[in-house]
Amino acid sequence: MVERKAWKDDFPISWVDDHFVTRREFTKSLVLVSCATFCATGVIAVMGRAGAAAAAKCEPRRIAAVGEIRVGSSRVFEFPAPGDPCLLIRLTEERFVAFGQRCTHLGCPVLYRKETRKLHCPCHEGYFNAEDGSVVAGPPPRPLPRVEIERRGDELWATGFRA
Amino acid sequence: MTIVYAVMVSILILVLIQYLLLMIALEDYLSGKRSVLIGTAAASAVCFAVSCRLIGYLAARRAPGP
Repeated sequence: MVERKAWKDDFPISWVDDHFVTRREFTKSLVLVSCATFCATGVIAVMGRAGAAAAAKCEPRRIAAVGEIRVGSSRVFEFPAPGDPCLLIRLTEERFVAFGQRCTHLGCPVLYRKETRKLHCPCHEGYFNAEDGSVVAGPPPRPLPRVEIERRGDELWATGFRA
Repeated sequence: MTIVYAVMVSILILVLIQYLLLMIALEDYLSGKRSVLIGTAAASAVCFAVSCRLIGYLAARRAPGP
């Protein structure tokens, strides 16, 4: 006669039964997933609203004097808040453009290439048109956000983002 | 048994729809357009409410145990 082991009295549920999930339990877990997905979508919506409100009331900021930047060169500035890098580029004697410096692919900083007149993301070889920030090549899914620039005398001011 | 399967599959489909809505919301947020964020959140809320209703229906139908 085979003796029943003592530990089996302490753990009467078999390994297989212990991992068995009923349909009802699975369905309940699906509802939890549904709740989590709804919460995530809600958080994104709230963040979007908050971001839109912040962008709407961002303060104009002086970014450079006209004489400080040579034609074909660029300068990094922070706008609308410290820690938000943007890139000011002087394309011609009279033409200035500015874009958010974070690549829309994975957030690497983009750099201006004077010889090709493109913005280059060195992380994954993304290229943007320096005229309008549109994607020219590489993995970035969206154009760079464009900063509105206003010339006040000999100074350049960032006033907001162009939609 | 059929009811349980029907509810399970229905909630699974709703979760998949919510997942698509989440992707749409994320894409909209990251692109900076922010035009459909509230709509996706509302649609996701409706899906979640329907899921809750279905699971509630299932719980109400549960036969009493021995």
